[in-house]
Amino acid sequence: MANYDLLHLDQDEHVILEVRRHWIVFLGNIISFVFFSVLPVILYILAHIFSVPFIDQLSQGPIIKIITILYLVWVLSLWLSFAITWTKYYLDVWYVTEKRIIDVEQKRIFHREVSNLRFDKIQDVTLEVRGFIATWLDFGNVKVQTAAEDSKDFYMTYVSRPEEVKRVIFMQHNIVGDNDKINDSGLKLKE
Amino acid sequence: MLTFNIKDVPFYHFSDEIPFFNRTLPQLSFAINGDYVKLLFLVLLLLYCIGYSIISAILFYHWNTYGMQSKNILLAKTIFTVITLALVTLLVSLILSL
Repeated sequence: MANYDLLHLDQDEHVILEVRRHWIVFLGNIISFVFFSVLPVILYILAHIFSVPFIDQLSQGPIIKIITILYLVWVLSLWLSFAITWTKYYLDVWYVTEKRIIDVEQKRIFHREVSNLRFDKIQDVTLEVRGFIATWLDFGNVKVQTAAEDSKDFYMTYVSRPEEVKRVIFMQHNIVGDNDKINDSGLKLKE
Repeated sequence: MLTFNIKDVPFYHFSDEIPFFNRTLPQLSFAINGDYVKLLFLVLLLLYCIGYSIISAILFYHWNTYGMQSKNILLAKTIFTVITLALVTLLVSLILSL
């Protein structure tokens, strides 16, 4: 069970939905990591196949061990870079609660922005699913427009399950709107 | 100690008579002193490990602070630690075998 203390939610507030980018966004990083990890090995094998000069001498004695050490350092560096990229991907998220959307933007490892948007300020939610792959894998762009001039629109690209995101936001928007109407009519009756 | 004597280089390495791909590596007199190489690599590895540890600590700080203690973060921590330890162990054993 996740712990959302950091979001400073109200007593009666809970996270309904976590919205992240689709894994397809991260696929490019996975391919890059695998490619650059095996690249030195492929080059070494190709050098053997094409009998590049010096390769036999480089494959003997302590030299091959030194080359392997350098290769391991290379893989370790790639692994660390991969972890940093995943962290930025995973920590860039929208939390949808009963009252608001909390947008956490992890731009760089030391650059983080957190914005709130209450449902009563939302004017419209637009989603865009463009292309065969986006339709097939169910991802798209979601834009939440605000009525207030001082609030910025929330926008996330390559969101996973955009229809579901739109449905939940609209549902909460309607619930908040209905509650506001009930509260207004109650106040008028008292007057 | 890695020594290289210019006299060891065959004549044709300075001429254009033999195509490049037919040349062989100059017969270097590889007098690698195991202890010095090992020490050098251990020092370099130590410096690298310090840098790696600092960046890993930053990552762990982010995962602990902003990860909301989710299962995915726990999984990420485990995979990251296991693969890092495996690679570092391999690295150290290779250096010690020099």
